Amino acid sequence: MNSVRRIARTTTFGLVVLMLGLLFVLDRPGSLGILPGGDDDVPWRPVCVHLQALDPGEAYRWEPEATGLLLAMLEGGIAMIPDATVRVADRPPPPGRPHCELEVPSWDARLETGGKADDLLAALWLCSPERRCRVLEARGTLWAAEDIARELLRGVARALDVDASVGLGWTEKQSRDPYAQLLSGRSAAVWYGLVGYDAPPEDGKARRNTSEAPKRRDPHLHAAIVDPKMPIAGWMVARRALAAGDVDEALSWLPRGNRPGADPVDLAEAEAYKARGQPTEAVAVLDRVQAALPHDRRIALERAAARVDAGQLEEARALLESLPGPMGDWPRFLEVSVLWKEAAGEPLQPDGLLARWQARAPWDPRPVRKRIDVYVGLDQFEEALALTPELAKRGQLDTARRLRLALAAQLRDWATAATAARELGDEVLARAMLDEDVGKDGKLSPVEIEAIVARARAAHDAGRGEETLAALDRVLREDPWVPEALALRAEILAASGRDAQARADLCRLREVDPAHGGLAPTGADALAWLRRCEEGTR
Amino acid sequence: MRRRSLLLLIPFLTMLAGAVPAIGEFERALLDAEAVAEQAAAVGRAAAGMQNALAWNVAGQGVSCADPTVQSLVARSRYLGHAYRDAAQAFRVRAAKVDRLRALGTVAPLLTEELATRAEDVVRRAAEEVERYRTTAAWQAQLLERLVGGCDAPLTVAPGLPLPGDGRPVAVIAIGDGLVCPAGVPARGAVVVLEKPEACFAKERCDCTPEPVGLGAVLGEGP
Repeated sequence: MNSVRRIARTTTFGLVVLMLGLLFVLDRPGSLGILPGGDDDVPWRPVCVHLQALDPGEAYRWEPEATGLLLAMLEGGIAMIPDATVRVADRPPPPGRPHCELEVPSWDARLETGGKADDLLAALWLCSPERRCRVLEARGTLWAAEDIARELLRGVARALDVDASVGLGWTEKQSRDPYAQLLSGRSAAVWYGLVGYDAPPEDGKARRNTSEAPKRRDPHLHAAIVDPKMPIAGWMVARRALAAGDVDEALSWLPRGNRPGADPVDLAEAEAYKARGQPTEAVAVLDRVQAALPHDRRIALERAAARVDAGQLEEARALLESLPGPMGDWPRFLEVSVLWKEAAGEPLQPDGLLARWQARAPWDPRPVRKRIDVYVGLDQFEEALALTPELAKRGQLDTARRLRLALAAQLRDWATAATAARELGDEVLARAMLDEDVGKDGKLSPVEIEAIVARARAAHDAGRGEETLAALDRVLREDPWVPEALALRAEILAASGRDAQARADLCRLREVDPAHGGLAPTGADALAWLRRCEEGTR
Repeated sequence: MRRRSLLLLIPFLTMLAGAVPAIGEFERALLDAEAVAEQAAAVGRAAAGMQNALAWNVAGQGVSCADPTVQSLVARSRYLGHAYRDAAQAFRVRAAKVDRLRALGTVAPLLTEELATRAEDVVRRAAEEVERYRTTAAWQAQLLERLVGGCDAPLTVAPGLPLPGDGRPVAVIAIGDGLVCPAGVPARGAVVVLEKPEACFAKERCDCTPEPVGLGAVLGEGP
C-alpha cells in the first residue's frame, strides 16, 4: 500500500514539475526560437544621450533660432549613430528611435550658444555616466550652422568612441536661402519649447496655399512651405502630426528627395507607414535604411517589428535571433516578441513575457494593459484588479479607474466599484451598486432597472419577494416590457395566490419574450397560451 | 391544482448574484442572443421558403383548396409565420439586452475586440431579422392570404422543401405526441431547429434512425 502511495506521490510530483516546466518554456521567446544571440563582430555598446539646451534669451539676434537649429541637427545626428539613443528634455523621441533603455550608459549633453548670428560660438557640455565632463566648442555663423553641428557631432562621437559618419549626413545645409534656414531654426526652437508661439489652426492641420494667417501662426508649417526640401522643417511638421496621430498629414510633409544614406526622415517615414497599416512599405523603407546602416541593430529590430505586422513571421524571427543577446531584455525587443507571439497565435501567459516587458519598461502602460486583458481572458479578475494601480502610475488613470470599476463589479466588490464610479463622475451607477436613493432623480435609468430587478430576485430567493413588489411595480410602470421584471413579479404573485395578476404578467411576458426562461416558444403550447391570455383579458 | 399548473409554467431565472450586471452577465447574454439568432434565422428561412413554394404552386393556376399540396403549404406558411414572429421577437429582446449591457460602465472597459465585434454583429443581425420578419408578414398578409385566405388547411405530416445545401440549421415542425430525435425534443406542434438536416419521429424513446429531412418538413405519426 505504501509503495502505491509512494508511486502516486512521485508521479504527481513529476507531473507538477513537468507542467511548471512546460509553462515556463511555453512563454519564453526562446521556446519560439526567438532568443537573440547574433555573433556580429562589431561590438555592441548602447548609449543614451540626454540632450538639452540652455534657455535662449535675447543675447544676440536670432538666438532661439540658432539654438533650435543646432539642437535639431544634434538630435537627428546622434539618433543615427548605431546603438545610440537620444532624448531632448520631455519631447517625444525621434520617430523610429524608441526611448532610452534601462541600464544603458547615460550621457548628458547641454548646448549653449553665444556671440552673434554672424559669429556664433556653440559650446556643448558633455558629461559621461561617471560624471566626467568636457566642453566641445565650435565657431561659425547661423547661416552655416551645419558646420558647427558637424564639428560638435564629431566631438560627441569621439567621446562616445563611436563612428559618427552616418550622422553627419543630417547636418547638411538646410537651404541655400538664409531666410528658409532661419525659419527652419525657428520651427525647431518651437518644437523643443525654446520659444512659444500662437496656437496652431483649430483643426490641427497644416494648410497649403491658403490665407496668410495660419502660416504666420504656425512656424513649423511656415518653414516647410518656404522650402519644402528642408529635412528639418519637414521632420518637425511630421513629428507634430505623428504625435497627434495624423499619419496622412505626417507623410504629406516629409520631404522626399535624393538625400544620401539614411536619416531621421527615413525613420519617420517608416513609422508613419507602420501607423497607417502599410507594413510592407515600412519594410521597404527600413531595408533601405539598413543597407546604409548595416550594423545598426535597432534598425534590425524595427525591421523585425514591421515584418511581424506584414505577417512575415519567419523573417521576423530570423532578424530577432540575429540581435545581440543582451537586447533580449530590451523593452522594444520584448514588445516585438509579444507581437510575434500574438501574430503567431501563441497563447500569452500573464506572468511570462508580459511581466518581463512590464518590468523592463516602467513608463509603458501597454504591457500592464495586456496583462490585465490576459488575466480577464483567464477569468482571474482579482489578479487583473491588482494591476490597475500600476496602470494608473503609468499615466492611464482614467482607464485604470474604468477597469477597476468593471473588475470590482465582476468580483461583486460593490464598495470598490462604487468608489471607482464616483471617481469617474457616474453617481447614478454608484448609487445603483450600493442601493442608495435609486431612482431619486426621476425616471429610472437602464442600470437602475437592472439593479432593482437583480436585488428583487435575490430577495425573492431569500423568501422576501413580497417586499420587492413595490419596486417591481415602479419598474414596470416606467417600462412595462422588462422581461425579467415581468417574470419575477409573476412568480411572486403566483406564489402568494394572486393568479389572475400573475397570468397577466406572464401573458405580457409571452408577448415581449416568447422564449423567456423556457416558456413554450412555439407550437401548440404557444397557441394554448395565447388562448389563455385572451381569456384572461376578457 | 390551477395554481400549481401556473407555477409550473413560471420561468425560473438564474439567480443574479450582483446588483449591476458585469462582464460575466454580458457574456451570458451574448451567448443567449447568439443561440436565439440561429434559431430565428432558421425559422425565417423555412417560413420564406414555404411562402415561395406556395406562390409558385398557385401562380397562374388559380387556387384549389382541395389540392393536398396547396393545403400543406398554406398550413405550414401560416404556422411558420407565427413561429417566426416569436423567434424574431425573442432575438430582438435579447439583442436589446446585449446592446444595453455593452454600454454599461461595469462592462464596456472589459470588452475585448472579439466580444465587441460579436455584440455589434448580434445587434445588426437582430435589426435585419426584424426587417425580414416584417417582409415575411407583409407577404403573407398582402399577397398569399388574399389568394388562399379561404382555405382551411390542417397541419399534416409532409416532406420538406429541397435544402439549399449551405449547411445552415434547418427548421421543421413536429406534431402529435412524441419526440423529435435524436435530440429528443417533445413534438406537440413545436418548431424545432436542427443543426443537421437529419431527424426522425418516435413515440416515447428515441429508438428511430434519423433520416434526411427538408426545409419546413412536418414530422409526426404519419401514413
